[in-house]
Amino acid sequence: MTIDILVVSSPGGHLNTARQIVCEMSLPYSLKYVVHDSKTVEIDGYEVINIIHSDRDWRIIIQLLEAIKIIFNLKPKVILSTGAGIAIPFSLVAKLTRCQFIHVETFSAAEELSLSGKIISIFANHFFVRYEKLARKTGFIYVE
Amino acid sequence: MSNNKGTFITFGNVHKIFPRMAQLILANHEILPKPIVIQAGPNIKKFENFNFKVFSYCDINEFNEYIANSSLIISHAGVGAISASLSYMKKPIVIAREKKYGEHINDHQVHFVEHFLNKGIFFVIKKEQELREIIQSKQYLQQPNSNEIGNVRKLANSIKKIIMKVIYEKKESE
Repeated sequence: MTIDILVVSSPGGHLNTARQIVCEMSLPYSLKYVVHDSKTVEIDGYEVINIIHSDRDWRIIIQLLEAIKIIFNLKPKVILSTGAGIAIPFSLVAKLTRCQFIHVETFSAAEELSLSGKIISIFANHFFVRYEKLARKTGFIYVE
Repeated sequence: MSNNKGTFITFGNVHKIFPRMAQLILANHEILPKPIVIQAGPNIKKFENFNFKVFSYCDINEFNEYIANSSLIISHAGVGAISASLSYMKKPIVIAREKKYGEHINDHQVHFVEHFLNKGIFFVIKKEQELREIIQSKQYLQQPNSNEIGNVRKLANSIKKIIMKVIYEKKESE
């Protein structure tokens, strides 16, 4: 089974933002969420795939293997991410498999890019920031 | 859960302890609206010997339900909890995690609250006295000046255009 869009996010505020964007877009395509360490199995009718959480430790290797498995199995056409660390292995695999990767930087990154954002910006095809000042500083996309 | 009563306290999904916030809660728990529900993350042990409902984490739907059904929300300065509170027209009391205390990996929460200071969408506190004043004067019952933070409408529209173009091109080439 393949899907059109994979939405990758940490739980909490990142996931809330992803959910708002997905609801607002109202796209007629198949979509699944990938979240770490969450009890959530469904969000607004979309299936949620749960993977291991890595807190900047060795478990990122397992996350990377999970990202490879998910991307190879589902073959998404686009990956949308709202951060944070969970999106790093997915952005890397997306880059290697030429899957389009769209990242929306966290709203809490007001003065500078988040740590994960800095890494993801290397691999993402489209990188959005949430503050005009930060867009001027970094050269990434800001939509008012 | 009772309707619009009680206090919901959230430490967010950060896997780091936040003793300053735990201490603020414990020092003031007697004046907080009851019942008290705490999503404590790794701080759970701090609240074990009290008559609170405490758990480490919950799913997004449960989380929103606690926000919707509480009259007072106290949170770390995470965007998720703040935006969820605003969506129910509730003005949360927030405490920013600081790097110098090992509460987060950087000071983005401090920068974030500074950006929105005096905009009337949340209260920012650092000291026990500030929390006490807001609770005793019932200022937390004020409505926030906005029901959202970081509108995603135009952003979603821009992303939608990219996604539609990519999917169209991929389906064409198949």
